[in-house]
Amino acid sequence: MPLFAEPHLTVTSDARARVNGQAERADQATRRMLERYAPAHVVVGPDNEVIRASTRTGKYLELSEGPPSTKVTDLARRGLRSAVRGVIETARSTHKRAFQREVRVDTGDDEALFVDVLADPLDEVEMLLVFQDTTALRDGTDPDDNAQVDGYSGEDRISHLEDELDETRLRLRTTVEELETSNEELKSSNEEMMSMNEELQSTNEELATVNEELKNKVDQLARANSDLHNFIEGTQVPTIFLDNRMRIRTFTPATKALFRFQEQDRGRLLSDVASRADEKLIDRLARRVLESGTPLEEELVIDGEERYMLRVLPYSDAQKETDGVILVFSDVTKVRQTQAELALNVALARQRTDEIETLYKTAPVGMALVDRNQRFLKINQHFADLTGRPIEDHIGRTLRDIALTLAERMDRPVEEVLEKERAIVNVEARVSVTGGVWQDFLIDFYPYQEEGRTIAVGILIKDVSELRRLERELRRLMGELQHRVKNTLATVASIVNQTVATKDDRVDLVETLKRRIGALAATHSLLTQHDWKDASLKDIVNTEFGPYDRPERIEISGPEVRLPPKHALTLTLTLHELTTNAAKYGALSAPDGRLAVGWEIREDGVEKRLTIRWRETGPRRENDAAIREGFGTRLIRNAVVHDLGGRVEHRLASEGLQCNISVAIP
Amino acid sequence: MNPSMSETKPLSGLSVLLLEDEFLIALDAEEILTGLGAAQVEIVNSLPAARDALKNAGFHLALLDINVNGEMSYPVAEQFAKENVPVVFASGYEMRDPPWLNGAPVPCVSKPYTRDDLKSVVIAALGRA
Repeated sequence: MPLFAEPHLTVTSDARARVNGQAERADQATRRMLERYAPAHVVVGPDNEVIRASTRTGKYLELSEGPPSTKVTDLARRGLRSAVRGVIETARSTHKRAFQREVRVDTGDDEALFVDVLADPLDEVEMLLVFQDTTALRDGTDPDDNAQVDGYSGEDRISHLEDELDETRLRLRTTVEELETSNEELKSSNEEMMSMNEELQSTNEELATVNEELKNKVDQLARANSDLHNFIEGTQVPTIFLDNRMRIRTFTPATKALFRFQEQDRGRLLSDVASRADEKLIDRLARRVLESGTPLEEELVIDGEERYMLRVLPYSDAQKETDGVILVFSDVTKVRQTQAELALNVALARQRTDEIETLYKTAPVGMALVDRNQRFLKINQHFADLTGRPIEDHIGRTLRDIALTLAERMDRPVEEVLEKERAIVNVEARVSVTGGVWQDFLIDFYPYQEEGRTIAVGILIKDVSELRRLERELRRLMGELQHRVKNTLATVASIVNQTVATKDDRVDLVETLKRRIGALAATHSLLTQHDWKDASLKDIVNTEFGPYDRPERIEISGPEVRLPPKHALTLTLTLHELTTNAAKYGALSAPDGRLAVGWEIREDGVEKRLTIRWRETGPRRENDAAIREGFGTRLIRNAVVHDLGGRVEHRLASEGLQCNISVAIP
Repeated sequence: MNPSMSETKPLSGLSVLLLEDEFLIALDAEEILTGLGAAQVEIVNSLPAARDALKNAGFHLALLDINVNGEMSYPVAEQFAKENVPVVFASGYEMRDPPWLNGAPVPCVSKPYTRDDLKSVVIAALGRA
């Protein structure tokens, strides 16, 4: 046996080791014997828990289902448990060894196992439990049925088994209940897990959303940054960013019009950079804004002509703290120029407006503006004078409210202008505006448009009463003139007819005609000089005597008398024939002849009467019959009577021809 | 009306009233009327005189100046027409629209007129009567 042989080989090395080795070999033998040949056994504690177990206990003990237990009563195989419990209890209560023989144990195979169980208390608490397989002995001798030392009867066994069955059932129920509880717990755990899973999932989704948002924000930020960069590079507005120590943070390219910036100027002091502007002023303004935190504006004049509006703004960092300043320059050169021009134009426009307004106020034309409802929007004084009411009375009221008679003539044109958007001019109206005198008006209507839409009608009204009166007067005068001219021509025709009938000599005829017509023409001239109103008798007489030597032969005397046209003409013809006769046959035909023409005016309350006395002296004539009854005499004696209703005494007296003419004059 | 009235003397034996305020024109007209055969020509120089003349004598014709001393002679013409005295107007105006009497336009002669002018209107006036 190699188990025994091995120690022999080691003993030979040393004597003392040999003695020890002998003792160890004895223990080894005991152990080997216990391990290999002693029956299976276990040591149990007070609660029947297995404290130690020998080898080969598997035949008797096995793990039952449920939570593992160290109790030997739980571990013992089916059929053995009650025996184990029985001997342990017996041994505990008696403090003596107890055993039970040939306990039948079902191993699950067809064969049954017969075991002797022995409990031997080691001390107060621990107990040795020994299992002895007696199957082989029983098969050989079969003494068991009768060899029961303790006299275990069949009934004992049955009751034992029933107990065990009850206990087993109880445990089974407990186990089942425990199982059910566990199951419930598992189920609820599962549900919790499910809900947690869902929560996790939603959290995950939220996280994904947040992630997406963050990504967008980052994109926006990048875009904003890019925009800002492009803005700074691309802006035409000169802008400089300074930090709180007046160092250049950044600047837009447009600043190069004012500052000689290089890229490396970033970080330098602004005052160190060459500039066309007043750096000291800018520096001062910037510092002031940095201190106060309020923006400032200042207009800079550069090189005497360019003008920049400098706006200094505080630069706020994320914490709203002033962390520098921003200088913004706006080129206002053109703005200032435009402003100056604008001011000039405004002044001009105002002047024009004033002129127009003055014209509007002073023009001798009524002007008004009426809206679509014929309400006055505007009216000038002249128009107001027409209606006889103050300007304020008109505004907002209709034409009809103010002057019905005018409105009746203006309603229709106003509506037509609004409808056709076309001016209507020279509308004639004869109206008695205030119920008094009739006036003639010429009215123009104009569409007043704003943004291409006719919103009102402008009315221009001219009082043409005087013009119309003059026109009527002119027409009357034209008629009068025609009447007069035709009458004059008829008169001349008559003179010609009468003269031709009495003159045989052509030269004499022509001369006579010329003088007769000439006399008439001269008085026409005198009348025309006074607008055909009247002529002076003295002028007529003087003109008639014009061709003769007067001072010593002709005496003219009489007050100033103005004769109306018909009187003037008839008297002219009469005096002319008297003169002609005097020159041919009377006072003016001889060197010693004298002629005196005198006249006087007499008024008797009823009428004013002119009397002309014609007195010729020498040469003497035989008698009254010597007066030739020719055209001239007929005219002298009848014209004044016929035309003027006057009286004529025409006779040849002893001293010479005498003629008294008496007519009423107006 | 005189049935023996010849073509050249339409006024033969007739009595004519002449209303004319201008002596020389009246003189001329009188001669023409006489030349046209008028047996009598009565010259008046005003509207009242013409009315008076109408009352006193029976005229065969009236030659009326339209404008007499600035007055229109239409009313007198109406009175003559009422008495069935044919009327002829003499006028310095162009008579575009001659006045009507007894349902017909009054014959008009424009001054200055010739013998022939007067003759034709006189014939017209007498023919209507």
